[in-house]
Order: sequence, then structure tokens, then C-alpha cells
Amino acid sequence: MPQLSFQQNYNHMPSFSNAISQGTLSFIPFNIDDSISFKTLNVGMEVTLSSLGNISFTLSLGLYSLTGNSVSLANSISLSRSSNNGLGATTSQLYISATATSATQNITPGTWFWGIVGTSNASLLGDAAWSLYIGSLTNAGNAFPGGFIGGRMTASTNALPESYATSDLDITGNDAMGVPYILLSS
Amino acid sequence: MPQLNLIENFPDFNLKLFNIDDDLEQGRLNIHLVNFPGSLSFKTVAVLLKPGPVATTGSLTLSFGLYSLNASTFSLANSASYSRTFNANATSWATFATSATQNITPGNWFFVMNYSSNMGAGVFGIYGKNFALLDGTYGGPFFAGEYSITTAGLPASIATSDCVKKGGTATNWGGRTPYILLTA
Repeated sequence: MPQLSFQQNYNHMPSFSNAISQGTLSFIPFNIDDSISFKTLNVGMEVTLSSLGNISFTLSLGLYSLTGNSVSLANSISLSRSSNNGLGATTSQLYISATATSATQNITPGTWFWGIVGTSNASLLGDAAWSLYIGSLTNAGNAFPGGFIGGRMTASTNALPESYATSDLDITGNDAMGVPYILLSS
Repeated sequence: MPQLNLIENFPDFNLKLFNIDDDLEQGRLNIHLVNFPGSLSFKTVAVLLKPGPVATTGSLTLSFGLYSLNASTFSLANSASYSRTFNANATSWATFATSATQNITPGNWFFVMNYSSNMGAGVFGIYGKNFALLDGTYGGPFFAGEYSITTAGLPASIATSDCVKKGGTATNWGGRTPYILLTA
């Protein structure tokens, strides 16, 4: 199989922003069309700065495979940023990228899942907020009536689990199912 | 791998009209990554155009290039060119045929487009999407942006070191990406 240089889930940066809920881990699907050496990851974020102080955040992404009804951690990467605004609240649109994967991996083709969880000091800064750009805000009222396509943990966590049962996930609503833009490059 | 009938860079069709600033953007190459999940027998390129609010008579030429990337060099694999005169202001499909028969193989490809016109600024628009975020650019190797050198046509090869990432100092043409559909 030929190697890819890039894999992205959208051919453009989506325009909807979805606020990141601290301590809430979501799993989102990500198709890999062909093998790719996992070196760099980019996401798109909207960050509302605060007049009260610097906002800092860390976003952890785990690459999971799905076997039966369980996702298992294969790799991980962490993105951190601190944004300074001393002049009042403004909104920044940023690419956030990282290269330090937890393991060297040539990702094989197929459907993988990203587990995404973040921590920040935004709640201490009143008007600060941080969001990921996602493809749609469509809010289906019922759970997806088929195989696993993603969902959100109901238990609070700041860490990526080694494995997780998909039957224990919330799979209803765009807060649980929104898919952020992700680009991998080799 | 499947044989596809079409590939479009923005399948959701939720497009925005960009009025082109004639003075700043002629001769600039917009470059962006498109993943091909299957093969496509490449015959036709299509874009959506709209002349500006005042009906203007003039000419427009669009050049589309399909490029592959090997290490840090883009290479031209195929091209298509479109020319017309405008004298109306309706949105319309513009289609143009490829220069050579090609069965595009699955993988990473790059759509490149530039234009030339004599109609002045703001009298021609193309539908597409804003890609760039406003406050900085992406990490890792180049995959979307524009060629930093103004050119009248499509170069046979482009070094990624001569490209400006979206969100960098790219012009509007580099930050906005036209909707492009390829069909068999």
C-alpha cells in the first residue's frame, strides 16, 4: 500500500465552533485511507481571551482502534497553548499543532477513533472560552441506530483511558457527536 | 480500491461567494490538499462562477492544475483551462476539459488554480470556502496556501519552500479556496 503524506477529515476548516467541556472525553471517528506515518497533528480552535489573565489549555488526543464493543488506545499526543491578552477580551482563531506522539507508528488504513479531552483555566477567567471547529451543529434527538460512530464519556476524566466500552458512552446530541477538524501529516 | 465518478473538494456544498480583487490576485496560485479515496478517470473540471453586481463585458481565464507531491516538490500531472467572456450576472457552472487522459490514483493530490481577467476588481466572483484561520498558520509540512511567485500559467514543478501557508502572509486568493469538482 502506498504511504500518505496527509490525512484530514475535512478538505477545509469547518466554521462551527463547539465549546470544550473540561474533563469530558469524546470519541470521534477518523478514516485513514492509506498508511500514514504519524508525526504531526493539527486542529483548529477558537479561543476567547480574557481581560482577567492568560488562558492556558492542554488538549490530549488518543488514537483508538475499535474491536467489538471496546476502543483501545494505540497512540497519543498532547497540544498545549497559553494565550496572553492584556487589552480586553478578544477572540483568536488558531491552528494548534503538536509532534510528540507517545509512540512511533505507521497508522494502517481503516476507521480509527480519536479520544479527545482537555483541561484549561478558562473557568477561572470569567469570560474566557475555548472551542474546536467542527463540521456541523446538527443536533439529532435520538441515538444513532447503528454501529458505533462516536460518543462521549459520562464520567468525568482528565486522562485517556487504555480502553473503554462503547456501550458506556453518551451517543446523543451534537455536544457528544460533533466531529472536529483534524489533520495528520507524516 | 473503488473507481469513483466524481471528486469534489467541498462535498457539503455550503459555499460562500468570493468577489475577486483583480489587482492583488491575478497570477497567484491557490494550492490545497484533496484526498482521493479511490481512482477517478479524469475528464472534466467544474467550478461555480458569478460575475459582479454590475453586468460587465470582459474576459476571464481560469487554469486548473492537478499536482502530486514528492518530498518537497509539487509536480504537474494534469491541467485544464477555461476562457469565456462575461456579459451577464447569473451564477453559472463553468466546466473545462483536461489536457490529457488520466486515471487519477488514490492518495494525496493537490488542486491548484489561478486566473487572469481584464474586468477589473470586484466584477467576478467564485464560490468556495475560507480555509485559513485568522491568527497564525498550521504546523508541519505545507498542504494548503499559495505559491509565493506570481505566474501567468501553471509551473511544471513547485517547491514547497516557495509556498506560503494559509494563515501566513497569503493573499486573499491563498486564504480562500474555490469549490472544484472533477468528474469522469
